[in-house]
Amino acid sequence: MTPQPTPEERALVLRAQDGEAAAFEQLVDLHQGRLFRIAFMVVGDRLDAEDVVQESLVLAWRRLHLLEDPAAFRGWVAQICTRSATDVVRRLARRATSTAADDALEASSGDPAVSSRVSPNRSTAADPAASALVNAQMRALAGILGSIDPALRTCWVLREIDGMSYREICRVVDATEATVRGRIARARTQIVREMEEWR
Amino acid sequence: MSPTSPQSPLSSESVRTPRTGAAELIDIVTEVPGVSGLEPGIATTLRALDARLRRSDPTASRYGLVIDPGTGDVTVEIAVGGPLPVRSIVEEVQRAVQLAVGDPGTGRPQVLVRVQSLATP
Amino acid sequence: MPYPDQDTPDPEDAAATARYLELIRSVHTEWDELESAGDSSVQLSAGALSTIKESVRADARHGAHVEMPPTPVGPFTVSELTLRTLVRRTIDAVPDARALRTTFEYEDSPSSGRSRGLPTRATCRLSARIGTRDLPALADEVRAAVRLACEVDLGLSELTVDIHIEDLHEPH
Repeated sequence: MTPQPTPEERALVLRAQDGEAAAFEQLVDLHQGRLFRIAFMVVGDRLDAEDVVQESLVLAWRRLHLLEDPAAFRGWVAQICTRSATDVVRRLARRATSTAADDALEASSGDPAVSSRVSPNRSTAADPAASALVNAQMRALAGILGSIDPALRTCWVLREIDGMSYREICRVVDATEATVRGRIARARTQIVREMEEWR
Repeated sequence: MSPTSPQSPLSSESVRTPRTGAAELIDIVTEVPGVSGLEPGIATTLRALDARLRRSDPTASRYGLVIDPGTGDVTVEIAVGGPLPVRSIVEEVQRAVQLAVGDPGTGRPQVLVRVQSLATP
Repeated sequence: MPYPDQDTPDPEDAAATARYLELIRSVHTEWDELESAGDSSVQLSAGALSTIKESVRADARHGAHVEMPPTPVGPFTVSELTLRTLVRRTIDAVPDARALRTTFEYEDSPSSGRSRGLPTRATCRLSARIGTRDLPALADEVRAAVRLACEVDLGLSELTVDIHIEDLHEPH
C-alpha cells in the first residue's frame, strides 16, 4: 500500500547525504505535500501545520547523516513531522488546561481586565471554522479529529491519510502492532460515532 | 502596568520579556562597523520556528537573531566584511547587544555570535 | 490513495461504515483537487517552502560551525566557509602565492550535532608563481601570514599550519 521509494528517490537521499542541497530540495518538493496533510490533520491548524513541516524538513536536512538506510527516508521524515505535530497538540492542550484553570481563578478574583484576556493561541483542531479549509467535509473531519486523543489521531492519520502500513506506523510512533491497530480502530469508531451525531 | 507588558501577550511570561526585542537588536547589530548584515542560518531558523510553535514571546525571535525566553541569552548570525579583524567585530556586536539588553558589568546576557560568512575586502 | 482495510473491527452499522468510507474517499479527492488547483489552504505557502530551501542552501554553503576562543565578552563560532575564506584571502595576499584548498583538523566539539571544536591544524595547498626562486621561503611566508591572520582575526594562537606547494601558475 505504501509507495516504495524509487531508485531516483534513493539517489536523491544519498546525494543529499553527500551535502548536495539541490538534491534535498527535490526531496522537499516530493514530500512537503504529504507532510503538510499529516501535520494539518494532527494539529488542525494551517499555520501550525506549516511551521511543523518547515521545522521537520530543516531538521531532516540537519540529521540526514543519521539516516542509515536511504530507502527509509519516507518513514523517517514522517516520524520527525509526526513527533513535532504531536508535541504541538500536547503543548496546546496543556496550555488550554492551565489557561482554563487560571481563568477560573482570575474570574473568581473578579479582575475584569485579566479575565477578559484574549488567548494568543492560534485556532486548534477543535475550532475548525478558523482552519480556513474551504471544504465542508474536510472542516468537519478536522473538527472530529480535534476531539480524539492525539496518540489515536496520529496513528489514524498515518494510516488513513498517508496510507502507511501498520509496520511503518509502529516504527514511526514506537508502539507494537497490536497497539497501533487498537488505536486506529478506536479512532475509527469515534469518528463514525461523531459523524452520526453530526448528521 | 510594567513597561514590558505591551510587548508580551502572555501576562505569565511578561516578567521574562526583554525590554528590547529581536527587531531592535537586529538594528543595533547591523549598525556595528564591519557587520555586513544578518545572515540567518539553521540555528536561528529552527529556534524561531520552535518559538512560534511554542507561542513564545513573538518579539523575541527572528530569523537571524533569537532571544532565549528563559535566560535572555542572545544568538545572532551575521555576515562580516571589511578591514577590521573578525574577532573585534564580534566583540563589538556582543558589547552593543549587552549594552542594549543587559545589566552592565554582569556579563549577562550571554551573546553568542555565529559568523556565517566573510566578504573579502 | 489508500482507503481503510476491512481487517479491523467494523462499526456495527453498515450504513455508518459506508458514510465513513465515503468521507475518507472524499477528503482525499477534495484535497488532491484543491492541491492541484494550487489552493493555498491545503499546502505550504511559497514563503514557507522558500524558508526551507534557503535554510538548506545556506547551511550547505556555510558548512559546520567551528568554535573559536571566546572574546572577553562572550562566545563565538565561525562557519567553515568563513574559516576557509579567511585563509584563502590571506594566502592570496602573499606575493607569488595562490590558495588552492585548505583542510582543518579540530578538537572534539563538546556540543552535539555538526559543530566542530577549536581548529588545531590547517593544511594549506597552494600554487606558486612560475619563476619563484625560493619556494621554502614562500612557504614560510605563507605559514606566518596564515598564523597571524588566525591569531588576530580569530584568537587562534596554537594553530599548526602545514604548507604544500603543489602547483605553479603564470604571473597575472
